[in-house]
Amino acid sequence: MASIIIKNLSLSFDTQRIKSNSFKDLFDRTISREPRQEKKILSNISLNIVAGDRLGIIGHNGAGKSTLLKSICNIYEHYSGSLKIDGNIAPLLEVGAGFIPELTGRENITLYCAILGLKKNDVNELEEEIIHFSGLSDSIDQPVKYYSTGMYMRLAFTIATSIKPEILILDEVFSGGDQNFIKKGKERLRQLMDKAGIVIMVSHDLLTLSNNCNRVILMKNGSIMEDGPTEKIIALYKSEAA
Amino acid sequence: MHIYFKARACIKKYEFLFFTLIQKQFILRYRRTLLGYLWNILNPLIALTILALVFSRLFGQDPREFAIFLFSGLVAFNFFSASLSIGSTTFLMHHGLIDKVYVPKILFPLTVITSAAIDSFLVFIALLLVMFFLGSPISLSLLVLPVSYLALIIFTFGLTLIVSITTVFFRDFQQVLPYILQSLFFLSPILYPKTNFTDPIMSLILNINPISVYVELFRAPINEGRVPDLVFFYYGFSYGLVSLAVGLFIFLKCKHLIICRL
Repeated sequence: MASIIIKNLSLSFDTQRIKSNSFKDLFDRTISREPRQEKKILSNISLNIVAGDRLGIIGHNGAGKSTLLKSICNIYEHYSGSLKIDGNIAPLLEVGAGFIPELTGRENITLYCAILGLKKNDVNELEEEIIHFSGLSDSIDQPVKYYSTGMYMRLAFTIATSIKPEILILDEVFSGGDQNFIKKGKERLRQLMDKAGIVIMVSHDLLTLSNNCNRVILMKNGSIMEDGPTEKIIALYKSEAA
Repeated sequence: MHIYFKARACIKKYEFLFFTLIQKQFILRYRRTLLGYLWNILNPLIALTILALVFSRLFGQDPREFAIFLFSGLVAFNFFSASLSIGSTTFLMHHGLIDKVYVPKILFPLTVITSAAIDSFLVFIALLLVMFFLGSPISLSLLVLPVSYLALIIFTFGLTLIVSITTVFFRDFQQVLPYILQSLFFLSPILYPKTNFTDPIMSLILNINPISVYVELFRAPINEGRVPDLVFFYYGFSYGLVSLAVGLFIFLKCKHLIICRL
């Protein structure tokens, strides 16, 4: 059974170094003897997610929602605290950001599937299905840099939803794409979510959350403020925003 | 035992990604060129011809003999320098990927060294035919070259690990690396035999420079048709293991911080 157990997870970034790493700044820092400035993005997150959970995450920009997702996906590895994950994860973070513009649609399908941990035979099987669903059979052998935003998004979404993970992670999936495709995509996503043990989604679209989640957490400044049933937390969030 | 099974499961899981990444590098490099992969062989051939024509005159040697001499040294050095320069940018190049999904970080330097080794080996075979035509000795000692390659690959992989990490933390290194490689080229006995220098400083440098060892491991069989002295293999693998150990140590220490510095 899929499960995620997070205990006292904290994560910070050294903000000065990201800004600049020149000798001048290094010198300034040494002279001024300022303590290293670490910006805490997540602080003391504890969370138990069990199979069957459909967890929504809400909060203002910069509250740490995406960072939390990335930590769960093991992209950020420098956290303190503990993070235990059972089950295979397919992240759907910023759909399509991993495409290589010079490669054709077909080649990107292979690469993307390989990144998500698929084998060669699985990829061959999936390829036709992906091309069909995304409706890109005419342009699949062109480099994706010639794709329109919508085509790009359609391909990315279809690939990401064509593997069937136990833990599904969604970060603002539908941006771009026409109404027609969004409708088709939502249906596909629903099927995928039915099969997944755990779904975690970040969205600013409260309707999507209340339609799909049975549990929501509200994040603020890197901590979990509230954790509870969907309607209650969404109502709380709304009243706070008002 | 546990670690072994974990490592094996990991290799199995990412095997296909590994091959896909290598394939991708080859596709990207030669897409839309008229000659395609042939460039990989033409590039070193052209460079070799220019160097051989100029320096054989300077040193007053027969250009054909000098070309073979030069080729035997360049095989080792080109592989070394290509791995390091591509390796230095590999994490920056795959930023989009690393930021999106978990991939074992060591996969990227591994991809670099493997594709460089494939490149080097194919060039080597093609140019060796040219060298036979120019009068390179054909002897059984050529069979020792896979061992020479192995020593060189281990050595280069260790340094590639270090270089790939260094650029992430100090971007300036990207600007410095070409000069380091160029200096190494002139400070290694590639254009000239090691014995040419009587100057004590130069001979000291040539003697402690690890590249000299690897050049010799390729030069003896290709240029002189003999198996290199055992002591060179000994040095070659020793330098290799030290480089690999230091490289792995640094890499494993820093790999989880790569994402915050990209």
